[in-house]
Order: sequence, then structure tokens, then C-alpha cells
Amino acid sequence: MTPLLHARPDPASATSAHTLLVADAVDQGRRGTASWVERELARGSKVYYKGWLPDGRRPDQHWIAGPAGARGAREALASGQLEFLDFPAVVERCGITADGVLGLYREEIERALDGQWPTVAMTQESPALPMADGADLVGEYAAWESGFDAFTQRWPVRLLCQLTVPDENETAVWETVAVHHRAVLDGAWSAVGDVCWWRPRGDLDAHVARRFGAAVHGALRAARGSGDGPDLHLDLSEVDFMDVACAQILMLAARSAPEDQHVVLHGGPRFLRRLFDAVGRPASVREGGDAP
Amino acid sequence: MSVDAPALPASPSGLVHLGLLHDGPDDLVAGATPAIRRALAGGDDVLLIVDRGTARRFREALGADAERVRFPPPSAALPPSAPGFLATVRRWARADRRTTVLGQYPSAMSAPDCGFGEDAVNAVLGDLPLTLICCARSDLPPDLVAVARRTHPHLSTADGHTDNPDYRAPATASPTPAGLWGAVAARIGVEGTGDLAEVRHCVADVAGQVGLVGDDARAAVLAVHEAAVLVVRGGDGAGLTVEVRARPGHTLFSEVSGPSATTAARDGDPLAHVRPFCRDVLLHEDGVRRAVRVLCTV
Repeated sequence: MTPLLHARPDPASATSAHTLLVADAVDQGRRGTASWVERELARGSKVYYKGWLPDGRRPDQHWIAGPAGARGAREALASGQLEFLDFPAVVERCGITADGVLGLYREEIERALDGQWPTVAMTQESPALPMADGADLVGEYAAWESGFDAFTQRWPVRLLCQLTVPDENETAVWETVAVHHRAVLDGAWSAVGDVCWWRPRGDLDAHVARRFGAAVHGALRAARGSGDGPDLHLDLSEVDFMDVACAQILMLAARSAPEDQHVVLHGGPRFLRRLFDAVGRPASVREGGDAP
Repeated sequence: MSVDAPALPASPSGLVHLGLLHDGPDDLVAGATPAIRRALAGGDDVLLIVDRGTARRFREALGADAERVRFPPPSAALPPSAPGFLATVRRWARADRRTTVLGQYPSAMSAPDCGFGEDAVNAVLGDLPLTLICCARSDLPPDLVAVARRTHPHLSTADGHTDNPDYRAPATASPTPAGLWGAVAARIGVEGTGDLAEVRHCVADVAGQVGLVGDDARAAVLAVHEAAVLVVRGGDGAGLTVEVRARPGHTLFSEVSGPSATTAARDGDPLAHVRPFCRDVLLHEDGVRRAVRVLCTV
């Protein structure tokens, strides 16, 4: 039996440093984002918001400053605590390259810290990236998201990446969730983790199966690239429900992993093992020492 | 819409529900005796629940084998039209061996009620180690003969079993009296997979009321969820209803119904992934409506 890893990240900190907020609908995403921005403003963070601004509108006419937005956002825009940058302006300033994006964010962070803001909160709306058109953009995207992780470790920075599923193509949804597998909030399920330890939580069902599959893929990919890997330790203790679709996705991902990579199960109810057996558990899925 | 009868395996483990249409006692005995002999040879417990004259003819036809057959009086069994019919059928099943029961349709029987009972046997007793041979005289009221033709997946003949081309799976609307499943504990509208969490919470609540706990409750929730996914994915996702019925201490019965499938069915059993998690599950499709029924027992 493979022993359970000891060094587990704190879920609360993992979800607050660099988190992906997934929404099936625009309104749903806005509710979550408004709540996050409101909390950051109340904490006294400098907040940078990047999003889509309809033609001819000013930032104070964006939804985040309106009735459905965050309380205090309009005043924060006026005071400078909240800065808004339109996506076309972002592209103009940095292009869609990892170096350009990271340079822009670094400049904003340093400017905020120089201005004596204690913490920096940065969020961007679903960018509608055309990832299906080429692998280059996928690589750039993964690189700047990795850079965001480095920012959160170096400075008091929290990032909320927004993903509005209807606005993105399937490749973008897949890659976005895979890259953010360490901190995903997606309605009734979420996930936290580090490079070789991963804990999905909540209800995993057919409705979110593709996104769950993307996150599993991301977790396995990260574990393979880690010095602590390649095994992925899967903590099931906070899974409230998993259906056949998600169980199949998990088992298929484990089956298609390289020969030397295993998925090691920890915690969770016995019933999940019964489900895995029913859909076909490959030899690459093993039990940790703390199996129920 | 015609629904093909399931193929009958050579050594069935579950229910075999046979119809036998005959022209009178002599024709009945001639047609059924080979099946009775085969059942005895296979080690079945055999019950012939027939009127006195037919019993006498069976004894003559079976000769010494008649000693190994039981002849309960017709009053010992309820007809398919009676509310307690399913309980009667269930009592015939034995854990240690297969049971073959031959019975006669009485002439004075409500055809709709008989149809309910026969459909219910197909819907919920499929796992019992029973062979039922339901005998109907061809000069019975036409609506009763029609029920006998419609509700038996296979016909018993002197040469063995044949598929019944007139068989129709139970209608999409629940074929069984509501009292059989208990009161409706919940009815939920479903528009898509995003609504399934509410279905699961509801089933979990009702499962608790029924007395399902632990893994049994989890299995019931999963089975109904998967049934709902199947109906949602097969159609356009609109207009689905999940109805959950409870008999505390006995059963949790759920029916997921919606418009008929708009996507082509895949090869194989579409419910194979559900079966490990419930007592029984059935898919009914009549071209207009589609229903998946899930039975979980305490």
C-alpha cells in the first residue's frame, strides 16, 4: 500500500490564491464574481478587474458597478481601489502572449504594493480565447496561468479566473479547467490540491462530467511533471456523490495514464469502490493505506 | 408500436411468463403436458391450479409423474385481476429451486384489471425463479383473450416456447395499481442534467423514509439518477418527470418519464450500468413516451 502523503495544502488557502470560478450561465458567474470582488474590497485589497465593456460604455457602466455587481464597486472605481481594464486594451498592451500577460500583471501588482495596498486581488472575465485554432495559444495560456501561481507565492495576491462555459469553445473549457485543477469552484463540485495530491469535493455527476474529466486530466498531467510524482493521490473523503459518467471518466483516465503512473485512492465511502468496480477499475488504481 | 419480446435463455434464472391459448380442457392438457414433464425433469416444484375436471385429465396424462405435482384448489390462488395477485405470485417462488405454476384464466374477470396484474408481473417480478403458464380459453371474452395475447412475452406450445409476436411491453403510464407501490412521495420536473441534484436529494429523503440506509440508500439514489440521465440524454431534455413512490419497510419505486428518445439507441443493454444498484430496472418505449422504472427494496 502506498502511504498517504503528509503535506496537504490547506483547502481554504488553495481556493483563495488562484481559483477558477466556472459558471454554466452568465448570471451565475456574475453572482459568484460579485461576491468575491465585494469580499476583496471589504478586506481592503487593491482590485484589478479585466473584462468586456460594451462599445461606448465607461467602466462605471460595467455590470460589476451596477445593481447586480459588487457593493461598493462604483465608489471603489471612483477612489481607485478598483481598476477596470477592457479586454481590447489588455490585448493592445500585451498581446496574447505569456510574457506580455505576465508583464502586465506584474506591473499592476508592483504598482499596488508600491501604493501601500496590503493585498492585491485580480480577476478577469471569461476571455473567449480561440484555443481550438492552435496549440500555440494553449501553451501560452498554460504558461501565463503558471506564472499567476508564482505571483501568489511571491506576493500577497489572490486571483479569480472566471470561466463562463457558454462563452468558450470546448477546447478552451477543457484546458482552462485542466490548468486550474488545483482550485476549481464549479457549482455543486469543487477541487483543491497540489502537484500530486488532489481532492475533489461535492457532487460529481453527468452535468459536470466533462469538466471533471478535464480536471482529472490536469491533475494527472501535473503529477507526471512533478518531482514527487508520477502517482496522483486522490482524496475522496469529501465527495458527496459520484455517478457512473464521472466514475468512468476517472477510471479511463487512470487506465490511459503511462504505465508507471498510478492513481492512489484515499478516504471516501466504500460505495465509491463498488462504483469503480462496476465500471471497471484498472490495475493502475490502487488503495492508499487509509481505505474505508 | 411493437416491442420485441426478450429472448428466452435455455436455462433461465428469472421469471418465464408464458401464455397458453387453448380450445378446451383436452387441448390445454395436450398442449401443457410436455412443458410440465420438462419442468419435472428439471427438478422444478410444479403446481397446477386448475378446475377439478382439468386436474383429472392432467393426472391421467402425467401418469406416475402426477405424484410429483401439486394440485391446489383454484381458490388457493388469486386471479391476475385481484389486488393481491403479485403477493400470491411472489409466495410461489422458492430460494432452493425453480417453481413452475400453471393457472387458468377465470371467465368472469375484468380485462383491464387482469392487464394490470399481468403487466405488473412483467414489470417487477422479473427476477423470481418462476415459470408461469397462464392458460386462456380462446372462447373467453375477446378483451380477456387480447390481454392474454398482449401480456405474455412467450407462448407455451407442445414443442416448447415460442416468442409471442403480439406481446407488448407495459404501457409508459404505470401499468400497476398505485397502491402496489405506495403513495407518491415526490414528483419533480426535470429540464436537464442541471436539475439532477434536486432529484438525488429527493430520492435520498424518500429512501430514508422507506428504511434504506447506508450503501443501500446510496445505491438507490445512484440508480434513479442514472435512469434520469438516460432519459435526459435520450431526448431533448425537456418535459421529464420523476415520480418517487414509497412503501416504508418494503420498496422505493421511481419512474422517470419523458418524450421518446430522439437519438438512436446504442447496441447492448442501455441499463446495464444501472442494474448493479437496484433490484430491478426496466425501460419502456412506445414511440411517443419513454419511461425508466427503478425498483429498490429494503
